[in-house]
Amino acid sequence: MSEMHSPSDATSSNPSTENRRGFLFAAGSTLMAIGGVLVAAPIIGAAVAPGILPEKDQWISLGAVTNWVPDTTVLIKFSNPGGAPDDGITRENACYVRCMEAGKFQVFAVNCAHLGCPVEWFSQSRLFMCPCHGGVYYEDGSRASGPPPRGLFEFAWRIQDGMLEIFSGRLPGLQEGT
Amino acid sequence: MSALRRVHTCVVLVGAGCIATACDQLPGKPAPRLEAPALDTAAGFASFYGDRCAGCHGIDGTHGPARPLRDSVYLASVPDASLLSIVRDGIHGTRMPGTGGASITGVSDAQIQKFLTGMKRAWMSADAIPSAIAWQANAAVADLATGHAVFDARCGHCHPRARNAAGSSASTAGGDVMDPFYVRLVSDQHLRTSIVFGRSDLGMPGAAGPFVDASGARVETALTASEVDALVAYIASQRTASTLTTVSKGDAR
Amino acid sequence: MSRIDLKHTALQGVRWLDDRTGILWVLRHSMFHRVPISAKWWYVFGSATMMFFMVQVASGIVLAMFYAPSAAQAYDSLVYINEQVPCGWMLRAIHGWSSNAMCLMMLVHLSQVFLHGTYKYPRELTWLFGVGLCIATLGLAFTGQIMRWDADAYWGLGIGAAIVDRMPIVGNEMRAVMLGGTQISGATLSRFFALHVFILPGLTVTLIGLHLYSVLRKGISEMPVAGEVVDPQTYEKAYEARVHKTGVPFYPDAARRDMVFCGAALIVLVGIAAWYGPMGPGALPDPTIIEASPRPDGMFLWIFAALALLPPGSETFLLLVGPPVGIALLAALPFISPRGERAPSRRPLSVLIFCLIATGLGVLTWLGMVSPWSPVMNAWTSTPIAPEFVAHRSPLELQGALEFQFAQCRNCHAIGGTGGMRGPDLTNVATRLSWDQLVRQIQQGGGNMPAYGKTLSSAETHALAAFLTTLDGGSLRAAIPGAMESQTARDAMPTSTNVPPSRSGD
Repeated sequence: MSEMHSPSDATSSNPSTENRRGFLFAAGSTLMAIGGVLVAAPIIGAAVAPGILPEKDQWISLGAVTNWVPDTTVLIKFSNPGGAPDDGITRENACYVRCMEAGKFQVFAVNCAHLGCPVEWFSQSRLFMCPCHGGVYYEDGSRASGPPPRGLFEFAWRIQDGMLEIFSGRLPGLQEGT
Repeated sequence: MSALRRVHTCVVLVGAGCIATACDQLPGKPAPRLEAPALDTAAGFASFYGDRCAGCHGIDGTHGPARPLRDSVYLASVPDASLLSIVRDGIHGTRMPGTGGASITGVSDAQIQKFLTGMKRAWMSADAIPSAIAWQANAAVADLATGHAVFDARCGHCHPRARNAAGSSASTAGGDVMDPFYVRLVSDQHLRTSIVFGRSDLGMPGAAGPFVDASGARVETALTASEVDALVAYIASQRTASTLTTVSKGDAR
Repeated sequence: MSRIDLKHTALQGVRWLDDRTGILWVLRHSMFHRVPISAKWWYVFGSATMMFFMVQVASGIVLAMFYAPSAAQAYDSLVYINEQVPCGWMLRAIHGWSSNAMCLMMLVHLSQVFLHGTYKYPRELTWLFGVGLCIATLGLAFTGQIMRWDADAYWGLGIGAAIVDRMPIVGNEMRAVMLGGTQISGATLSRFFALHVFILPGLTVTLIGLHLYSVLRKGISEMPVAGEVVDPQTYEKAYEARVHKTGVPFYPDAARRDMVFCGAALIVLVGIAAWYGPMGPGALPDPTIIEASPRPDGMFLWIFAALALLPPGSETFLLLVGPPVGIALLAALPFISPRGERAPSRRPLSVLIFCLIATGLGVLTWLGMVSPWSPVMNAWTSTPIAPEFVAHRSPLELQGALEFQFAQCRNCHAIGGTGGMRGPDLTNVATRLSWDQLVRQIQQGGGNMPAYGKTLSSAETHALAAFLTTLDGGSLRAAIPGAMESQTARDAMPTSTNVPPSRSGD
């Protein structure tokens, strides 16, 4: 170890050398810090960007309003807006459209409000049942029994040019407060 | 030295070859993903029936709460088009749900047709003859008095009224078919199908008999078409004849 | 070339290598370091865990040559590996079963270290790195399940996302970071692929290095002896003196046992893989196929069970606070109890805690396998009512039985032992509830049963109640006053012949 320090020991008495060393260290650490931040920004940014960027909800058409028969609930497929080509089959999504009377709807997410498992509609008993932990909902989406803390998640809907559209794009969750 | 090395090489090569070729012989190799067996094959039919029908129609087509389907005469009498529409759309207002239609989970007409073919292969004997009496009613106006008389003569022994059933022989009782709740729950077609084809799994004869009359004697004469019409009308008339005190909404559907 | 020359050349080569690398020093302090003579069969589980990790690395690298980490192709590539790649299914089977084996060995190792008090002074850091390895291993197991990209993986991600989403304030953002977007999609698989093949293995390798380094630095602990207390003042000197006096070199003395156990474990692993084959992939990860019944892999069934049984009111709190507190407690263990007795016989509290946790996890895992709280979604169409519950019923009662199936009662209720298990088995419900109680339960629900009052007409309710009053368990008598009043005739005549007659005699 001692021989490594010997050159500096020999010149340490020189104040100008001392200053130059201090300056070089300060400059070096500053440059490293700037460079580090510059490199880290895009790396970390790309990793966390999905959490910061605004959500991509869109109005999605589910088909002509006349498709639905009053007093029925049916499972409808739609494609996630803004999906990527490699999403494959997971680009598809589904929701339950309940038609109460002509032009009056409720649109439910298939995800159970407990932990997101797919609930199944039973038109015979007019109940939604969840296969994971046994959450059950009535036909209006309100909680009937089981662990869910609330009723089914609902999508906002509107009728545009005779088409039923829902406002969707993200996985529903308890934070949404819908 | 070189001989030993040759032996070593051989052992290693043979061993590796064995493992590589044996891979496909081992029990853990997953079976190739075949298409599910077609519904008109025995396996395909049994699996579809077991998944979607057995709950009500019974594990083997008999002894379920709903009409037994392992019934040659029934399968020979009801036309394919009607069976198809029943399986596809269900029967509205009854407890027969449909499995087809345009919904995401709906089964296609072609698949249902194959399923029906499979069912007939499995449960309809080749020489089955259709029932002499049409499975569906014609528009003829039925006579309630005749129906009453036929009921007393052929049905009443096994289907006594519940309120005065105390003295009847319980072991042969088929239960009260005049029960006001029962007649409200079932359609005329249900009554007619039950009368024409019976329920052999539960010991109930079809229209061909034999029956037991009020005195307990055996009656071999088959029912005629008009007698069936009259019977259905008579039993169905109990819907309006009886006064239900607890009727609430939903009875109409 | 003579024999002497050869030896001489080899020796020169080793000297050259040692001069450039210092390899002999490293070997002397690792392979040939002295370990306590009492370190015997209890000490093989850590080595086995590491061996299975190496199997994972090797099989995982080759799997990565065939696997397509894209949501559009992952499933097909797995089927291709199973069916087309020579020995590909075996590769997947080894990777899957070795993952289970690694988790199992890790848990046994963890239990042994806990029960023998090995974490105490001066091995706190060894324990801490071990806790890190435990988390990394479970992370690898969970992300590995996602790689299967079938329905279980898809809905498993949904459950994970729903848990993350429950975090206050940042839940939504955290979920989006986890999923790589606002939906489960191709970006999600890519993220979990990066975790599974880069981040977590890298972390694991680093932690294994630190874990092993601290084992070498502070030595392998001796078997605990009751009465031999760990005292930081004197422990290290005494330990080193003992090891110096009675210790044996790790290689070959202690390594022999490791080799025997690891070799046997490898053969068992290949046997299991060859016999049971690979896991999945199961159903397609199609979000529009609602008839799914997602279940996690065995290692996480206890969480699945806990999620069904936690009281809804405190669920979010327990979900978010439980794991960090649990991990913190585990990590803090050597700082909470750094000294004292190591023998399990002198540490009843530790043994009790271990038994409670082990039993709890075992019971939850078993419950997770049975999952009695889940409705059987197709029971109403696929589970028949046995003939003995159909025979001797009136037309009205048969309509009630039909209604029982039609209204999906069967999905939650068993009759004759078949059907759902969420609600009570109704085989002898007639002896427990009177007509009025039956009707009220059907109409108003309650006790975790939905109310059917709006769905069923009075005639349907009447028929259903009529059927239920025939369910007297064969020939049992009324257990409460008022039960089976409408079924006096049935009391005289058993509805089923397969019930022992002795039961009606009491």
